[in-house]
Amino acid sequence: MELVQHLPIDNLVACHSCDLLHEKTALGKGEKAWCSRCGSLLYRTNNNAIEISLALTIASLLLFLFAQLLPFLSIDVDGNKTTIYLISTIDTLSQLDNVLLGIAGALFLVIIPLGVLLLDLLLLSSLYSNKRPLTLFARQLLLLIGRLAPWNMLEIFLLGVLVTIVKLASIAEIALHQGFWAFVALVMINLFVSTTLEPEELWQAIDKH
Amino acid sequence: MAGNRQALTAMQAGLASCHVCGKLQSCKADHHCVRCGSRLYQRKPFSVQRSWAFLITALILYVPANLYPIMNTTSLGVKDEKTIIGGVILLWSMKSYPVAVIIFTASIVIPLLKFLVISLLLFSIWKGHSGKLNQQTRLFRIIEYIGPWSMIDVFVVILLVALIQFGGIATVLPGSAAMAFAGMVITTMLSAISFDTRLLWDSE
Ligand SMILES: [Zn+2]
Ligand SMILES: [Zn+2]
Repeated sequence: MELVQHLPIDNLVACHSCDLLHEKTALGKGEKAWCSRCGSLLYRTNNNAIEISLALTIASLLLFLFAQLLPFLSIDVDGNKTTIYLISTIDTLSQLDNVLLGIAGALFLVIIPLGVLLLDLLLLSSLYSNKRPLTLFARQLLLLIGRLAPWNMLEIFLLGVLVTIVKLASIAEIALHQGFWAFVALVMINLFVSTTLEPEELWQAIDKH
Repeated sequence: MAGNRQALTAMQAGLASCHVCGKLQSCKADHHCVRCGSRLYQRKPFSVQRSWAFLITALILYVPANLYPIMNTTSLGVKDEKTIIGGVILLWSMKSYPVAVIIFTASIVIPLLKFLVISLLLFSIWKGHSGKLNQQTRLFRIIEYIGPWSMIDVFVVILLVALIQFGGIATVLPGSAAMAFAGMVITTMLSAISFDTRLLWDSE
């Protein structure tokens, strides 16, 4: 335990993959620090991404609404045209006998992605506006977002949508509509935000309050 | 590259980085993180046991997930039941090669790879002498990243079931394998989340 007193903890970082301690060094723009023993990523430069992420989160929420509520695609079988909305998938699934699959669908397609977006909006806007009562909840918000993150599978769902379209195209004429393109844009923005905004930057912003 | 003049691990120095927020701090028994308030551990608690438990559950679910039909189609009064591999073979015979490869990789290859890699790493921790730790760590990170992509087929079933009720072409109902398969993907993800790569390096 005596060792601890001599170590400048604030200037150290432990590798998440192998636990080796490293001294932090200043990084240039866009640079990354790697573990010298196992090669894992130690940390990156701060992207100052809170403001841009807030703007993109608001855009994502709108796109999410568009994707759910605007026509997603239409199927044409021998002149019988049916237009499909993403939101109606949950409705159909809830009418099936298979309750568990309905719950899984609702969780992965609507509740988790929408929940994460709303939590992001609350957290980022409270950090951006710097209001005291909001930042008090920021820690809890960030903890919850971290818990949900591995289960947010929007980009995997998009690949599922593409596979479904290819499968359907063999039996019917398929036309893609605004809802589909809103969903594609949503996934792209999501990928951009998740690679730009580091949880560590958010923790540091919370620490400042 | 950051310097490491001490060549010391956080655990050897009596430190711990919080497993939730990553904050490095001194670690005493029954301690909570100074930054986020989570319980502080130097290693994930019961990592090996939990990882095994989820992996074995996933392995058990893998059997019905592949033996039972994942989708039941009724088209013009003709009933058709397809297992995962049956669906892949059908896609291949219809010359939808890219989709057949995507489904085969996501539903069959990735779960098997996950079983193989996680159990190998758990054995490696158990035996204490570990080979190329760099490669093992990288392998685990790859497995951790590609794991959730197995969900594709579940999403396809959900979408087809929901869409084709309206389409009027045919009806599609989820087969009994659909839930087993979803459960298998979720438990392998939980197994990976429980796994602590630092345990591999502790024997060094
Ligand atoms: Zn390392
Ligand atoms: Zn913490």
